[in-house]
Amino acid sequence: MSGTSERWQRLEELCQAALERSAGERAAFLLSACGNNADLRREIETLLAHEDASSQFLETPVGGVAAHVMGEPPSFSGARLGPFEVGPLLGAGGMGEVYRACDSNLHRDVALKILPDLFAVDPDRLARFKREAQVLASLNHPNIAAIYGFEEWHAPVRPGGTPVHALVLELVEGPTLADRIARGPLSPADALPIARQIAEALEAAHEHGILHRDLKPANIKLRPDGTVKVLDFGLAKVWQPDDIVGAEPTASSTITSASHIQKGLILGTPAYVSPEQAKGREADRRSDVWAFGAVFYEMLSGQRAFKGDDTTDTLAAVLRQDVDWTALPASTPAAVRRLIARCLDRDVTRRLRDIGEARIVLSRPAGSAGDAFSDESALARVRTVWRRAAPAVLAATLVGTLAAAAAWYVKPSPARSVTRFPFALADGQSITLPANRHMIALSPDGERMVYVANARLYVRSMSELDVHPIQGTEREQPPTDPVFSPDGQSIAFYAPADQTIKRIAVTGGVAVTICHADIPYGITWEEAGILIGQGRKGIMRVSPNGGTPEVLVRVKENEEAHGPHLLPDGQHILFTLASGIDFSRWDNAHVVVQSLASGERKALITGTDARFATSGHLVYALGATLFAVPFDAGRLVVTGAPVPMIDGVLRSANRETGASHFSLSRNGSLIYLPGGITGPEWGQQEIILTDRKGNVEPLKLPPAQYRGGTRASPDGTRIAFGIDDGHDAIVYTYDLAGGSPMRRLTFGGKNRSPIWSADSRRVTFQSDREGDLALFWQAADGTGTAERLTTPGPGESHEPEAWSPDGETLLFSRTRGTDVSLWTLPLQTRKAEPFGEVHSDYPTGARFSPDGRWIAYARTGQGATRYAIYVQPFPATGATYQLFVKESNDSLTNSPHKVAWSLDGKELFYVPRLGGFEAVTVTTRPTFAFGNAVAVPRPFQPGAPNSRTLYDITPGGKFVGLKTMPQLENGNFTAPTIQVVLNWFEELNGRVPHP
Amino acid sequence: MNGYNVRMTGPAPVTQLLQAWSDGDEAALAALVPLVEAELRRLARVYMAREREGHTLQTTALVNEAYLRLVQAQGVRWQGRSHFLGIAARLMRRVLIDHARSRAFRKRGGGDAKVTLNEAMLISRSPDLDVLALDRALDALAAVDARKSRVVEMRFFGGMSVDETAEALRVSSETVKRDWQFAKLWLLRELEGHER
Repeated sequence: MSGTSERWQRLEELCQAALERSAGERAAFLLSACGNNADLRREIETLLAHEDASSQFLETPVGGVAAHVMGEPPSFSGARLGPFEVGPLLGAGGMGEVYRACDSNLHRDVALKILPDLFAVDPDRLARFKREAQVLASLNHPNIAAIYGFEEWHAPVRPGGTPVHALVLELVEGPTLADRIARGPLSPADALPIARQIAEALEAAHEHGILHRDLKPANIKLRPDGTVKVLDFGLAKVWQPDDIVGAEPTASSTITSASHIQKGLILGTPAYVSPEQAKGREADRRSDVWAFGAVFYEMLSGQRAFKGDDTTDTLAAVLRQDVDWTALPASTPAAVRRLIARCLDRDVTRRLRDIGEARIVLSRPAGSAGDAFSDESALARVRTVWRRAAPAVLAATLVGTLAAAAAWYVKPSPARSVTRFPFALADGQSITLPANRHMIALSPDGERMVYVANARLYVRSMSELDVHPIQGTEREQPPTDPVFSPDGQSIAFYAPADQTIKRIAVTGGVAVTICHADIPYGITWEEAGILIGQGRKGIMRVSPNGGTPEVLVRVKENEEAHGPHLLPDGQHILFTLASGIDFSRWDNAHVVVQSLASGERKALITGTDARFATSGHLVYALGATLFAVPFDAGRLVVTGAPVPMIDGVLRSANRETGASHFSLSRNGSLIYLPGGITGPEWGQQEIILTDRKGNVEPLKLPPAQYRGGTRASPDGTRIAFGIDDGHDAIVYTYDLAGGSPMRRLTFGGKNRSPIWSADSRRVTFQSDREGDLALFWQAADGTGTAERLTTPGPGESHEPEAWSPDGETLLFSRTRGTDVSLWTLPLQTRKAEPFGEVHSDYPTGARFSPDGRWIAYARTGQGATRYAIYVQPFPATGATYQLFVKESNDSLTNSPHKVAWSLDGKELFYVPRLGGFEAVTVTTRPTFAFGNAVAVPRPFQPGAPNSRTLYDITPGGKFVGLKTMPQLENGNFTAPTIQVVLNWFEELNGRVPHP
Repeated sequence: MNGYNVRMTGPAPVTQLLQAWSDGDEAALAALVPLVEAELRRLARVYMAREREGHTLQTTALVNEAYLRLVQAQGVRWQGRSHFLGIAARLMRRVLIDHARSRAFRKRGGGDAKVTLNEAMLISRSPDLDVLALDRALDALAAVDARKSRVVEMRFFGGMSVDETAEALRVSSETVKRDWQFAKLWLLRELEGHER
């Protein structure tokens, strides 16, 4: 450590020397030591002045805080999310973090607003947000910052697998109006053009039936070229009540929570909310008008129209305070004064009725502003015109939502931007995927999509947000392979029950059988007829009016054909050809083209399920990635290099066919099912009962995040479990006989890890309801209140493990730092005592033997992360018996843990290594000894090594445990969303140019 | 490619990098930091997950476990634990400062708002400490006396003991104590100057 100056060294030396002297001696010491260097002396004195303060200063290390922060989801800067290269953080708040990002597909900079994690755990809210965002995306106005789309990425983007949701927004450069006002008031000449553009933005939105609801200077951007862009249209509404609010409710923060105001929900920012919003009433267009007035006032005066020290004060000002009109500069045109006054009229009925009026006022040539509008009648005239126009405007508002969506969809033009949205299926609907068949299709004109859900066909018209089931398609065995007719009015599909291809009108009715067919390897409905892939039988064609299918393409004995499509010339057929019986045959399959006239066949590229895009490309799948390559349909040649377009498009799950789950419209839109090769993964679990042979019996409980595991009551009638969704941790009980829904047992605080008392009458659990992490118990029928059992010391937490069969002793774990130790609590004395000197780095999952004489547990060694299983007598004698498990070769996975006793106490179940499950016999006389181990099927999750044991054994001899969704039962997945990409060809043309 | 998807190829390179760094190769530190950070973050999440289930979080345990995993997982005996702690301390500082900055952002919509530890996170017995100002003061201290700045970094952000700090900096414990005392006085005066 060099480089310290001589003066610095002297400073330190003298300072240290002074510190060693008593306070009384210091002055004299410094005087003599510093000699005539008074500067040095004074500096030392200022340092010494802090001696008292320094005794506490920095003495508490903050590493723990940093550890907490690190445990939080990391920043996305520098990451890649789909096509987005994420840049620096631009801002952060209750609505999530906003990053600058580059869309590498479209080569444009965007703003990514990444929604908080909370969204991922609230599917309802997420679905609503998506729907709203879709409507908001239809706003296309030069003064409104555009919403380009809504994106969703699954693991491994965010650790832990939580999906990441983000709005893709237009990136607007330049300061906000708030930044500008902070520098001082704007002159009327500067403020008027800004106000006019804000009014135009509001007017356009209002015509679409969309309110801003949170207009404020911070939401208005001033581009260097003078364009004003209003941000965050309508987002305040779709943001919902229980949101995280910023650090404190300052007068400038957006209120997104009702917590400050007991009655009524206020959305918006206190200084700009209208009086009616402040009273908790619904906002309407005139609320935006109010906010416009407040912003306009602030621009000209440099101060808020309504001020208060905090939220309550500010709202009080909004409701009562008179606006200080003297703060407006004298040069403010009278018409503008009147306009602002009319915007800020507390009486809604007298307030400026329509923002269009403001726009008209402000659109007057600048020079005439002062005088023309001193003429009150001019404004009156304008008003009359608008009153007359009102019915039309109202109508537009009523149908605005639908019309907007329609306009946004059916009018693709080169100027249209690529827009992505996941379309979430309605509650209770899920796409059934007999893994290898197409289950979604887009109509040729892109106006409708059809999908198979809940064993019937549904059609969604893109111009509406509603979905209609097609009456007449409901089947016991789900229909597959729906396709639209070229005119989009009919749908053909495969009915597995009678092995036929049928057709039905989009509007429903009677399904007409076209022909008999084997399970399809893809169907297309062309002008020239319906083409049916038939695997080893090649490709067939049949008239949509029925008849016998003709063979269009034959394949060799070891070949299979999938996914026929006619090229635009009607003379050539495009399909996928796989050969062999190998599992990976579809990974090595070829996209081929064959002449109908000559039968001549030509391989084009390696891949599956190719479609010809009218943009002049082939779009096809390779694994779970969608590729595109330029294709000359005249010369039948690929004219460029393939480009990966979309990662994560679900493909034929057990690879029996070449199906990839996407569909293109002629006008350039795309839909697909997000997923991989093995199917989607959803983070929920269901509770199942299984027998020793591994037979599964699901309970009638909804899938949820059953993190705390399940425990069976000793009388065999009920189970107790915890649901922990990240918001709440609640303990429930459920009657195994069925018939009644699960019963919520705990109210208040976070309650976890339930166990039953020996008499099955009470449930013991951990709760933080009184601030610490203590044990409570409560009557299982929900009567009475919870009673505290233990009192953890500072920094400690308690977790219940088991009650002794005689009901006298509670076994629990105490965690302090990283040390987990076992304790007992005799019910008589209620005095906790450590048990058996058991210490571990991770949970032990200790259990009493059925006779109450033994305790089995798993613990890690000191500093080691691997477990071993032990048994000790109860009460402890010092004797410890270790179970030696036959180790697998992969030593890292050997970590025996998660024990449970069989009902007769003669066997111990455990997880010997990751993925395994075994039972070992035990004898207790003459001494305790382990016998032989056998493998046991385990369809449930026992719990991760560092978590609590998640399973239990019922008195009926079954295992009760958790099983993670998705269910891959009979090869069927369920998928909850369809990804929609509008104007996808724009991207295709941009990224895969023609030579 | 992806900031939080750093794949660990195994503990050997970490050991070598630590060795190289403690031998004076500063370039090794640059390579080492992301590896250590990835492991710390990963462990922190594991710890946080446990905490949510009713446990409490301790830094020392976290850093120690990261060290054991990264360095000793394959039975390599290596005496660089204190150096490792030093790296962890620097990381902790950076993580906290970044976090405080983003808090400042939330608070004032940008700029240099004061963010106290209390606000920055919740748990601290020095609630009035403006962490961003402390960070600047530490930089200023480093300009005149780098070692003292490191001592504070290790003690305060890394939670290292006097002896650990001494070992990492290859000085005596007595020197660390004296540096610590003097640095605190100096920082207090610096911070006081800023508040005015």
